[in-house]
Amino acid sequence: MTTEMDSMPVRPASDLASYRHRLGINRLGLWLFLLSDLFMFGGLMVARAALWGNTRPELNMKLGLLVTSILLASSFFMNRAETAMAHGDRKEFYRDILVTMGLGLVFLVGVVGFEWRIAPFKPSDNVYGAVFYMMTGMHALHVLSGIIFLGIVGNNARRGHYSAERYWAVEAAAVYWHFVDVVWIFFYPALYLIGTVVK
Amino acid sequence: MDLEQLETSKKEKFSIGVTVLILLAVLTIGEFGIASVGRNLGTILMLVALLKTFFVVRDYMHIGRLFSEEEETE
Repeated sequence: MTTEMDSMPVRPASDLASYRHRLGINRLGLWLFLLSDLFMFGGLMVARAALWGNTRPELNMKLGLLVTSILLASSFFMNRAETAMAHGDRKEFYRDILVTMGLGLVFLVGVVGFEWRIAPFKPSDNVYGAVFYMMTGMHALHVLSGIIFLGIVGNNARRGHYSAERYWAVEAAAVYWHFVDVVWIFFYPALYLIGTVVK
Repeated sequence: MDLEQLETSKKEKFSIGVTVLILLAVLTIGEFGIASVGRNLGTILMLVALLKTFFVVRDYMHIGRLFSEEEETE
């Protein structure tokens, strides 16, 4: 005999255990993806070292410091957003994820909108232009995809897809965002600080 | 975990986030200062970048979770 209870979605007691098992696999997959992405950024760092050596182009160091600070601050707010979701504080989560996305956009405007415009070369001018635009461009693409990722996660959170127990997508978005931050932690000195300025 | 414990745990984690942000800010300003005074300090600047990465990977990316058997009780 079929009852109404039989047709209801079943959430067995082992469901959470199964979720936690999958969580471990998901985490491993994400970190392996980041490792593969790291090889690409590592290649760009090697290109910078090989082609620029102990020199660097004349870039606006203060603008570099400003955009770096903005990206570091965005990582701070992303960490707050994830912590808030892990503790069931949705209000704080929405606020922090919006601030993170806003700071990410400001970073993009700083690099693509300002730095690219005032840089004293074009991508095809010389090795400085080629390496600079390649490094900042690839990074900016990752920041943009991170913002889109955060937007999707924020929207799904608004629709009630996550809880304090189940928030893998929020964690994944946070780890990805921090990864983009880590890449810039190395790009900033490589582009703006290391080497003698060539005019 | 009751509400009070949850709130305390959240505040503790927020304060770790603040501490890391302060460390990152100090190290970033330090990098800028080092680059302003010296020309051939690339190795030191990369070491500072590694230190910053250590804090981000440990406290923001929670790399420890990758090796934990069970989900953290947040």
